[in-house]
Amino acid sequence: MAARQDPPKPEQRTTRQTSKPRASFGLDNLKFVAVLLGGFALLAGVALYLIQGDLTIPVRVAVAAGIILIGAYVAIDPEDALRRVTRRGALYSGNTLLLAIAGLGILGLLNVLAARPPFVQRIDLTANQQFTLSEQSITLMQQLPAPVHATGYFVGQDPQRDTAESLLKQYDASAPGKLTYEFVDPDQRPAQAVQAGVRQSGTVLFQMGDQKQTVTSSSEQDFTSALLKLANPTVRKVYFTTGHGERDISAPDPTGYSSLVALMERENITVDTVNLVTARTVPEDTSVLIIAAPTKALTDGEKKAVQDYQDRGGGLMLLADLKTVAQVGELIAPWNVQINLNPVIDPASSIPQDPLSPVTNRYITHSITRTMQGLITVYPSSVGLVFPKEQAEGVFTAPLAETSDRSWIEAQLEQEIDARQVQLTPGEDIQGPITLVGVIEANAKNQPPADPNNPERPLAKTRVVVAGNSEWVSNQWLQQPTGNPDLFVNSVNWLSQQEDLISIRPKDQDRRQLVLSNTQMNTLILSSVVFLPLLVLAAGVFVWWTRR
Amino acid sequence: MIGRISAVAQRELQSYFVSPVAYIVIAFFLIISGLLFALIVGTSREASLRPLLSNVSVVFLFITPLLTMRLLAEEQRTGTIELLLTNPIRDAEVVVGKYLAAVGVLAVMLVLTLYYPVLLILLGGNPDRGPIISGYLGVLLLGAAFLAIGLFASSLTQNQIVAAIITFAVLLVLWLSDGLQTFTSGAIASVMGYLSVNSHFQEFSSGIIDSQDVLYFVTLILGGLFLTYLSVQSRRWR
Repeated sequence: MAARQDPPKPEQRTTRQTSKPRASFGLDNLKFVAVLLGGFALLAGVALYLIQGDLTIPVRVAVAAGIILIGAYVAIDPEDALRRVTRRGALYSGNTLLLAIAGLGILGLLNVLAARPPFVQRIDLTANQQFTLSEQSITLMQQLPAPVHATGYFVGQDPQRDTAESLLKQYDASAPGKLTYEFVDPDQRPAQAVQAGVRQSGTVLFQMGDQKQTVTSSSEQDFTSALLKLANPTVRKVYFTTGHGERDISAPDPTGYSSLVALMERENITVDTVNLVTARTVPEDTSVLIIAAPTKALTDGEKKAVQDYQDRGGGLMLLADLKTVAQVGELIAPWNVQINLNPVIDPASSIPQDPLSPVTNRYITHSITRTMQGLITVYPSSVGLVFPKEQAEGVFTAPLAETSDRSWIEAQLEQEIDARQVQLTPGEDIQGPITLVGVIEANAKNQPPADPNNPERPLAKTRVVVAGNSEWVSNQWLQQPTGNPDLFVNSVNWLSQQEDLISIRPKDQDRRQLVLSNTQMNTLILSSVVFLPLLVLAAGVFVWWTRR
Repeated sequence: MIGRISAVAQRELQSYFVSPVAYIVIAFFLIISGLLFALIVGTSREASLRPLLSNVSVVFLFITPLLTMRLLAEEQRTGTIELLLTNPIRDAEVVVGKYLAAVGVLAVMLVLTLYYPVLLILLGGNPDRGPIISGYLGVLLLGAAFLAIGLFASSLTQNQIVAAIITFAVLLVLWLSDGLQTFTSGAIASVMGYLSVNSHFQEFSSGIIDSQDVLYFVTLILGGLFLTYLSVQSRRWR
């Protein structure tokens, strides 16, 4: 006879008691505590992972503790644990949870996919299309030979960050896949900022392969210029003359120029030396020729070589200091600029306790100084430059940086006298402001033949940057936090006639002015803040009334 | 199906506009936006709604819980939800119907604020039309996304206050996730950055309609509605 199974009694089916008698009150509590702590530990582990972004020790400890505790709960009473998990409600909850995760996952995936081309679409509804890039920028982006990565260094709440981000989004949208970008807060990651050579907030670094370009202001003009330089890197070559006791570009001692060379090479400038006596002419591939404080005179042949170079539109940088030979002034004499080889004393604006080393942070408006707002430049042991007040037609000369009004060129400075004690001797000494760095620009005498492919090409220019100082870019001074490197690099760029490869007209801001009279303002306030809401409340009252 | 959805929506809208709650919330919203509008136009002297719309989105942070808290919680408390769910009407239709009602109230609020740009033009200003259109689209999407989240919160509990608090908390996290991002790192950080409501709303008020931003808000809407549906479904066996 087969055993007959009794139907399960109702009490047994609805009760939640296990078939075994409860081991003890304490064990039940223990299970509850184990589950609670275990769950908490797992949550803590997940939270820590989110914060730290990596499987660090605390994360592993928390997760391990969670697993152990929950494992303990299961071990204490495996049957009960199994029953709880396979309960109908638990199964349904599990199912629902899976569905929820799957659904959200699909949505998330959609978002990721939509970030790629060709799904990205942007419509600019503004009247003057101010959020659309110009044709030039779009074409440039599409023709980029390799992907570019942009890193924007903006501190905390810098309002320029939004401008930069908006711009970068537009560049990205115009040629999907060519540009990636990120933002870094230099306050939070100072090491990274320093390593990238970033010195002010608002700098954006563009990188294509090994090449880098930095811009310090966020405009379409600046970004596109930087991209253009990345896309068409022209090799710029700077030659330093040798053979007259000039500064040594290979010397690593504090007065050497080896750091300056490194600085230029970081800007994709190749540096070399040339001995004009043996070479006879300035090399054809010279972008900029630098004569750095020669103590011996140039031969006639060398002078002619330099003048020929200048006449065909070459850029020359002349650095002079106290020991420089006076003859070098002949190179800039045609434009009436003089070098006065006497020290400049500026008691009002100089390195503390050292009036022989002027300091300034005001510059004239020029493409060299455009990005140097507020940067301080230092000129240790300077001699004075004298720029003419008027110039011939077609020639432009101007001081870039000057000393203060209370400065002068000291005609007689004896070695042992403390410069702080020296006074201005009217009649002998030349009173300030004295030019520390100046520029000369004229149309080159020998223009290259016209290029049929590029009829609008601007005239070749002869450009000179003269500085009454050669110490300002020495190794020891380049280590100081000054604007000297910026001034130097900008000068080299200007001299190599590379400063503005492209010109994009900035879009007007489109501010729609609206100035309201008092009555108009009152009308506005009353109608918006009082009448409109009252209208709504009145509607409510009306509805309440009709339903009474 | 459409008929049943609109039946639910109509019933819900009716109950909104019969109770004083809707009128008070809308009037309150109009007072605040009106004040902002006056302040902004007065100080910036510019015929533009851009800063106003940004601020309005913050106001939504507080208003949404008030609008959505009773959508499902109340029915769950009084037990009328059982009636609703045993109807031939499908769960999904209930969810969509109630949601559309809430969006309807939002639409009424926004239509009333159209008074501001009209006033600007009447007073002689010449605001750029493009950003106004995209701005309103952005606010509508943002509001609709917030409402979907609020609806989900309301489905989780019988207590309206709890629903309101949950809604507010979730919206706050979304709102602040840009700032919270700095405490995280790696892939999680970029996810949190993407979640930030503000970063997707900014461009609308400037005059740009970006497909990614639109998708972001649509995702929130669909996600919220889907979760609400699952939550309502789970009633059946809870």
